[in-house]
Amino acid sequence: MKKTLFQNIRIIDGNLNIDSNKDLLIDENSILEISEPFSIKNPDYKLIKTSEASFIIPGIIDLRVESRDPGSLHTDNLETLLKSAAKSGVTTMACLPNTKPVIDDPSMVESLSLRAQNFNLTKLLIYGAASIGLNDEKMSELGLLKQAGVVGFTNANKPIYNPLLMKRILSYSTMLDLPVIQHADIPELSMDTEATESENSTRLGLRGVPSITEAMLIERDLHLVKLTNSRYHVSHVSTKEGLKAIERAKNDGLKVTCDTSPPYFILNDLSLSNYDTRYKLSPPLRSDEDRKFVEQSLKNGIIDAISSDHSPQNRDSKLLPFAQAKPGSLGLETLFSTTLSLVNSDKLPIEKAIQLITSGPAKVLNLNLGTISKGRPADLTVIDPDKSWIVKGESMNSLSSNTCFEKMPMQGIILSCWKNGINIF
Amino acid sequence: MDNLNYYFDNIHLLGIQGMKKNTIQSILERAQYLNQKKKNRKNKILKDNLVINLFFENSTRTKASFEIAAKSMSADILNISVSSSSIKKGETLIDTAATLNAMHPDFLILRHPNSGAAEMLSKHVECSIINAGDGRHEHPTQALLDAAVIKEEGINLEGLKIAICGDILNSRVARSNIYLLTTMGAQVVVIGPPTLIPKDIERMGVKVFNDLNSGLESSDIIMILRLQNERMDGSETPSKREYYSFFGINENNLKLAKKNALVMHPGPMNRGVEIASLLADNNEISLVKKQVEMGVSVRIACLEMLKLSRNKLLK
Repeated sequence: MKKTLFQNIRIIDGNLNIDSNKDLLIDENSILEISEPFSIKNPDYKLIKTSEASFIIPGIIDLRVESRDPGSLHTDNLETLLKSAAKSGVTTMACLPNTKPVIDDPSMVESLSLRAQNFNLTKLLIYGAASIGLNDEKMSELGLLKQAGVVGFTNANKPIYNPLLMKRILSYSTMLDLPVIQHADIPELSMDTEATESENSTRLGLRGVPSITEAMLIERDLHLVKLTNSRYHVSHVSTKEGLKAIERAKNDGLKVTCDTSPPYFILNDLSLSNYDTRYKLSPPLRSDEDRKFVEQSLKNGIIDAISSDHSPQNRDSKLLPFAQAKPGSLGLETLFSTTLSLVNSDKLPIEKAIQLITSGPAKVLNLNLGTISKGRPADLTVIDPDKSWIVKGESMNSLSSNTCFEKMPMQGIILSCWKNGINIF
Repeated sequence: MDNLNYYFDNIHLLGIQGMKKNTIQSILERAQYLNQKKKNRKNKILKDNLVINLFFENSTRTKASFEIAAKSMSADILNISVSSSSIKKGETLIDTAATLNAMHPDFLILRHPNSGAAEMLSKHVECSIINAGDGRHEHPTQALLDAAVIKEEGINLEGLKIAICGDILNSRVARSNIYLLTTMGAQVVVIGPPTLIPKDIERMGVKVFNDLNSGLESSDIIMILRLQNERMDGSETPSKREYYSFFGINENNLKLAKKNALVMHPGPMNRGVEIASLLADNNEISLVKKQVEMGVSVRIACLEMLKLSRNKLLK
């Protein structure tokens, strides 16, 4: 088997809290050896030399992407999605079941993961629909979905809202030891709204949803999680009150985790000022107070992971009045740089930032990934943190170009990406 | 009959909860004795007694078996079917009972979809109430006949490991069996998806398993419960095929139980859902037919026991 040697490379592993230069030897599968710089010598090994500033981290794990394939191939397809992920340093990602048809049947899981596997790029994990058709009425075949390989259950961009259904899903999922993933929202409160309720939404005349909506559903769920002793994960948490509820649950010892996404620690609702639909997201952008609290919660461990919340929307879906435009932003190719920006602005130590996109998400899904140690799969991402670039949706690897970071300067680029020791970017 | 003693001091049979061990023992022994006599067990114990079968839910085996039992004891029996009675016209349970009470029955056999219906009725009538199933609460004669069948197989209840598998949450059969089997010293395990296991059931003295295979391990008897259709459509469990693949008992997973383990089912069965069809028909393993047969004998014994109590207590 072909062996590759990264010579004298700076390894940053947030899980092991390591930041030091080593020689790293891999084969086309796993990590073979980690030792002192220049200690491994063999002319047969393929040698990878990198600049002094660059470093290697465990392959990035993304907990939340949307695949438009099958169903909306004019918006994005599986190939562009996987290529975009590889280019972003993402070696494993989990996609939502809101494809067309919905992934509520075991055969859908099998077909999508087989198709993804054939590209030999980023590993695509799949969440199963918690309810049939994501209709929040009847529980899907959660057991058969697990047997087909799903890693969790969710209603995707809709909450699991019916309390009896939620109780039953949480309870049933304990038998399968998989997390139930929630999009915390109250449909009656958020219906037809365009922004977070605030002075800004008032001035703009946008219909607002109160930010406590998120906490309202989380609080309800947490009672049910306690009752059923189940695993519960809240996705793209964006409010102070929501995070405070999760913090209390964690302190109570419940099996609760959460992630947030870059827009919620980089942007606030002032971005909406010129009705640019690129900033229409779900959940909507929040106040700066919420944003700061998200930032702080990344540091103190309330938030377990940063997910890209990659949501391609075609041009026509965004070229509409704000009220009618579809929410969502591409997120994969800005995931690393937006995370690194927290380090560059001294908000997070580098190990912590890396942890939030590697071992943090791995733990949420109980994956044996996210750390660089001997014997583990060689999922690796090589970074040049000094290179800067300007975000341009048009040049992203997607059939859509909707990014809420358009024209923003970013720092840090992906030099290469390795999945199971195979160079995928 | 006068030399029989059931150690029972109630004119109603409402449930197994609280029933003394020696009472259960005597009913089982008497039922086994009657079962061996088959056709020769006819007697005149209930001559001139009026027995009313009042069934608010559909039933084949329980209703028929009470009727046969009462007839073999020379009782007059009246079957009231809910669909053609005043209950359909909106009469309350108490009013129906009062009407029937005015006809001076000696026994009223009640099946009702609400838990506690039999107990409520017992406070408003003078006749003896036999609970033939009340909601999710109890079905005492079913548990008694199940135990009698096990004993008839030459198996001692004490120390026996029994797995009750399926919809424990909604099952009165499960509850009556748990009371009876734990009273008799058996070890009871319940198996089912978490959505069909009621809260704190461990406090009733059973062990809970959500995994069929580990629950079946070293069981002597597997008691399979019926899963109602309306619970398999995404409400309490996702689908029939998922239920079968996680909790359906077949000849394969039965191998995890003890060698020579036996299978019971109170009926009616959903073949291919909770039990594989071949297993249901395998009379070397399945006791289903014997359960039906024992049903009549157990009900004769229960009527006899209540008749004795009435003679003693109502003098």
